[in-house]
Amino acid sequence: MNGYSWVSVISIFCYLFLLVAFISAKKPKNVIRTFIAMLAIMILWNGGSLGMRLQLWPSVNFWHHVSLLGMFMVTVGYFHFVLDFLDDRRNHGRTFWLFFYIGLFVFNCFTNLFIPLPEVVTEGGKTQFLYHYTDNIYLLFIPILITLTQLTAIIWRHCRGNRIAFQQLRPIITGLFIMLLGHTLATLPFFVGFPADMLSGAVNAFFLFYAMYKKKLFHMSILLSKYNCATIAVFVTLALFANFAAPLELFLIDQLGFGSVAAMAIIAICSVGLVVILYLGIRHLFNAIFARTEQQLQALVEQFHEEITHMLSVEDILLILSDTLQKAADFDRLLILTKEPDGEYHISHTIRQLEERSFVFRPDHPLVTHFKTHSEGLALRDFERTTAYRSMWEKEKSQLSNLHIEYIVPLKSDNELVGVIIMAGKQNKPAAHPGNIWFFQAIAESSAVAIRNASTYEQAIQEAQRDDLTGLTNYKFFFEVLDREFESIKDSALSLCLINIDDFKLYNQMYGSQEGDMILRHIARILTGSINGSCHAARINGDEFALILPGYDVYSAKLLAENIASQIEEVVNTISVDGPRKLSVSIGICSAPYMASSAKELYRNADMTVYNVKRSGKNAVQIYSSEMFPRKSAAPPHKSGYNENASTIYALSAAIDAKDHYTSQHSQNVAHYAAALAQAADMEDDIVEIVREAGLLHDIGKIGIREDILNKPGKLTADEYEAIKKHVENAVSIIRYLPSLDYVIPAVLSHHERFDGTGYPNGLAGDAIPITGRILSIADAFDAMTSIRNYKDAMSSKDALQVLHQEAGRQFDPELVRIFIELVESGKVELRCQTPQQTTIFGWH
Amino acid sequence: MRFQEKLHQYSKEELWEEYCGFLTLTSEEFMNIQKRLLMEQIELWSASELGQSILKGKYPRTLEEFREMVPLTTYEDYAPVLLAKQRKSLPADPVLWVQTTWEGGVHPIKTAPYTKGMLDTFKHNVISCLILTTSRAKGEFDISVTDHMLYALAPLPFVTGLLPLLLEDEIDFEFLPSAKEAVSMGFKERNSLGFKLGMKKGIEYLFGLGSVLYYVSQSLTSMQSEKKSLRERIFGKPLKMIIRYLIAKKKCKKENREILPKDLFHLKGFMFAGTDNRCYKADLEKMWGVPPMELFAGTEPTCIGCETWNREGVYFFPDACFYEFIPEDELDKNMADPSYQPKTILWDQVVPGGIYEIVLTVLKGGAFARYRVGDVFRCTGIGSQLDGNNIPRFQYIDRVPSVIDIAGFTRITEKSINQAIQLSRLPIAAWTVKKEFNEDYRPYMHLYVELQRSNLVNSAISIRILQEQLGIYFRYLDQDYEDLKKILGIDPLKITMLKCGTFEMYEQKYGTTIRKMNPESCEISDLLSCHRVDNAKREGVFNEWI
Repeated sequence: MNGYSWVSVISIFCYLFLLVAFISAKKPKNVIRTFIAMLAIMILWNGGSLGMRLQLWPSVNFWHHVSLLGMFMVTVGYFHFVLDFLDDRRNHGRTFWLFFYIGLFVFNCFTNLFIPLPEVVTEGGKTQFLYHYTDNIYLLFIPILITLTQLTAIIWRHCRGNRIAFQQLRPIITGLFIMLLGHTLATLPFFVGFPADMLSGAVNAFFLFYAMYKKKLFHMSILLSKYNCATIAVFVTLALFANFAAPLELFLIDQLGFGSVAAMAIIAICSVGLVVILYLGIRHLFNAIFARTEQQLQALVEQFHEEITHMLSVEDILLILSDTLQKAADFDRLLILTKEPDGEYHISHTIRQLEERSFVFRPDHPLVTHFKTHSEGLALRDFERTTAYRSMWEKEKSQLSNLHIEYIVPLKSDNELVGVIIMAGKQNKPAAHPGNIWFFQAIAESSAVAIRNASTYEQAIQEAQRDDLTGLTNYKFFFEVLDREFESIKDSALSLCLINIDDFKLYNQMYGSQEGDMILRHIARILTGSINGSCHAARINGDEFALILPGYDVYSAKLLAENIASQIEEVVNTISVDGPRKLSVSIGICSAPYMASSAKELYRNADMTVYNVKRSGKNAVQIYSSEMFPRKSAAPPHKSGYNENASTIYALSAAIDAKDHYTSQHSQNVAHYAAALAQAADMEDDIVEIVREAGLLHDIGKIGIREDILNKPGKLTADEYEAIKKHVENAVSIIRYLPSLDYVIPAVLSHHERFDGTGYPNGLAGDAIPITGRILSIADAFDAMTSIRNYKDAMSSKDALQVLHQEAGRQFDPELVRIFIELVESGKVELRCQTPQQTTIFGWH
Repeated sequence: MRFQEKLHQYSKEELWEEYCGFLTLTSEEFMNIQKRLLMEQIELWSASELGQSILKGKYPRTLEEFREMVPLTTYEDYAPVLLAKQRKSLPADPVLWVQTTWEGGVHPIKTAPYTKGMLDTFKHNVISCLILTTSRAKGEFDISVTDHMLYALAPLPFVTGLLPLLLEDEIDFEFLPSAKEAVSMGFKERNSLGFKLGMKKGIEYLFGLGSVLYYVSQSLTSMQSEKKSLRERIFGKPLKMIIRYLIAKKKCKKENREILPKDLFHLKGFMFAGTDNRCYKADLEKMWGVPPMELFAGTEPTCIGCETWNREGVYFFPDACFYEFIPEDELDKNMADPSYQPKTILWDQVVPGGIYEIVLTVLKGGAFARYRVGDVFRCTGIGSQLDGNNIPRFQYIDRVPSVIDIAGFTRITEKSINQAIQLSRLPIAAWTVKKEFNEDYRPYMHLYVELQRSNLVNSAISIRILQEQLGIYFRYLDQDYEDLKKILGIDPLKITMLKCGTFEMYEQKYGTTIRKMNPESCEISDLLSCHRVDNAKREGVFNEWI
């Protein structure tokens, strides 16, 4: 090898290195393909030159032409590369130039017109190649200049007014100038023998490589493949043995006395050994230089995986996840959102204490939708370019942009999106870059599984300990907590408040269980909002709550209970759009160690106190006292509720009678017909009695309705009708205060419901209407029709029965109508005579 | 990042996916975008004073409730708020207001607010149009920063004036002349300068109303036919244009025809919008050598759709407006009984061949909800093998029958015609009008009139007088009508005078009065057959021909 052969060797080595790296790229873009072609051209050029200098077989001239082929094609290769780099798919004469330069090369092969064959000169054992250029060589520059001018024009068009495009092309333009310079220098006498053109080609190749790297057309990791390491190892070994194989062979034969075959075998083994050692060494070196960070990140992934494997707390996992991520990158903002039971994604962890927590992804958020089908993280700027982004709301867009979100990683486990990591780097320092994206992905995959498991576990625990409706501690877990707290009071106090809602069943019947549930949720919110972190709120029964208050003495527990009672009253009063509601609570308090020596006793005493409040008129807060409950108390004999309150009922009836002249007698008639119908329908005696009593009381609510409406001679207006409809709820509100008669409430409450569901107050239909209400409804209608009102005459019983028959299945229970008609027609029920004062319209009240 | 920077940052595939990915959405994906954005709009619109002025205290929460609670609206529902530009009453703060003619002669203008979100979407969709107009196949397009666009549309405050501003935001195109210069120029001056600049710099894109482009292209052809010396023609022109001119001249001489724009300019993209485009499409393609791409845009809805490289029909953008369609039978019912609320169907319920009036809810804080913009479309098909999708595409037919729009310039209604007749004091007893097309497939307004019998003795009235008098008042009432004459040199009014009693005879014969605006062609021939009946023979009275 002469003095300048190293230029070719180094150039070829570099080209091979890049070629192997890029050939192994998956799904290469056009520009990569053209770059590979460029490298191949360069290898031809340099390889030919090297073969020539080494005077390899078959001849110097052969290698000269190989080198020339590369040299002629480099311009057209460059042309193609730039067009692909610019993503310009127009032809611009690509094919023409390709064939033109091939033609030029073939022409030169036969004529040696532009570049003659070199003269091989050997001086002092040194071989030199002298090219006797003529001016014809400048003819070659003409098409090259035309091609490059066209290329410059294309580049100019692309870059004009576009700074970014120019910056991207700058390395290519620089490389082009270097290559032109190299070619020019090679023709000057001063550089005779020095391959300036080849050197400039190699430099240019690296500029092209750099331009592609800057445009992110590939990742640097492509260079670190094992194929590349093997290429380098083989190449270095070849280079070494090309120079040292002969002296080594001589040394083995002459000095060590090996035979020539043995010497060759040793050299072969050595060369193979050297390749392996070099390969391993190079890989180690590359890893040490380029992959150190990668290894560190890998170690972090392993450590993270180990730490979270057995964790069952989502909060703890998120904390470790956040710490681990922060070890790998600097974040300005790091938000971890996790999926809530309602499908929304809320912030569960953030590195900023004062972060705005209202950031929520709804289940139909385009990012959530995107991650349902994609598992890889993505930069926000890439997401902004997707079609899914087009369905983003403006406020969602500004939310992401205000937070300067940079990169989003999904937390997916078994195709379920359990959460999302949202990150933003510090100014001018992106958190996510090609070097650590894989790390985020790996961490996300590990944590998604852990979060899912932990959240399933927490959910199971939650379900076991929490009340579904209110989210408070449930009955079962309440005792566990009470025992635990009782055990730990030591020198302090522990109070227990039992809060029972008065007449809650009745409230549900009047306003529906949906509103009842809403009340329970409101009360739960009041309770949780009124206690501190060491206290516990529980729902221990359908209508009963409990507060376990560690550190509370009797006085403070009483103050708290009173405060809660007033809050509940206030909330209930304002909760309904239909108007104010009334609801009270009875609260019993017991405190340890003052009044109980065990958790069981504490509960029993509080329970008894509540019972006592109920007995003594409800709606009060009482503290347990042993005097409240004498050991032997004689239970009072049971009395009929009606008899007990008969005087009250008569007083109320008299009051209604005074207001509505038709109602008093009407109630008795309804009671009579209803009891007869219940009996005919084979009902138990006590039901018959309930129906009778309900008949007497069903219109008791009219006491709260204006007299002028009740006695209005003409048709009622819509507002007046609405006022009249209130009598049902009014009746129930009155009966509430007669606890021994509350069994009639279902009948009274439902006597204006219609069988087809269009009645009031609750719009119940069919069998959902209590049977006592259905009976009352028929009796009420029949008496109303057969009565005289001030604007209508009484209907005959026959006509009234006809109306009942017509309305069977619509307004009335058809089976009960059938029984009632039979009852009347057979004369089994005595028809009450109607006084002139008693009648109402068909839409009876 | 501007589109110009993206051109160098991303591959063509990536850019195509970003801007034209909507073409390959499934129906379900398209509707998901529509419905999701509508939910945002329902929230904004219902909470605004403007929304509440229509909703009257109701608050829809779902698509179904929205369609149930919001009646179909017209500009009259919004006029009090929008004409007074009451920003605080709107669903979102507007960035700018654009305007257009509301109803020729009756209401001078209508204004529409544009929010930032609407402008961003508009911009994105305009870039999609730009890409698609240069595309010759899926994923193939050719846009360069150095391109020039000749733009034959009105400047701001008309919505068309927004397009150069939006494009300038994204790419350093050169508009011929620049948007700034164009604002202060008249129509003819603008086009003339545009072509002069085009001759120097080249024209890569052409965009305008179909009718205007046709007129402009014809002017260019006639400019080339003017007698000028070669020196005059090539003076100051770049070498490229001189070569093109010389080649074109030689070629045209050989083919014995005049120089057409296609001989001098090689368009990359050719877009047109407006009414009656189909009348000019073939001629424009002949003149420019490139089939123009139709796009749908308007003052109220922004840019809502465009054709692809196949020119098979227009595809709607999923994020500009929420689309509803009134089927033809419902539209007929509504025309027969204006109090009838026609039923609408959604975008994914249209059927190929169906004719629909479009109903729009402008998304991203727009003011209009369930708005009858007054355009009628035909669904030309669902799914295209060539475009590789499965979504409906449409063809613009015309305005709704109650409005006559000639070449995208006028909006003449029954009210405006009555007003013109009233002002002209012409003794017109009855009339009906229909938009018709001449043998060159150019639109005109055909007014069939019957004069008052009592005035015939005292007044000199001929078709020419009627045409001139009515023309004067149409021009007086409607600037756009005047522009038709001034800009395009079109007189769109043709009058047929019917003998006295024709309308009465029609009513007697068919038991109904003929519709005043755009009756069916068969109804017009029935009317003409009444006109042709020999009254003397029929009734034994004097035949009153005018």
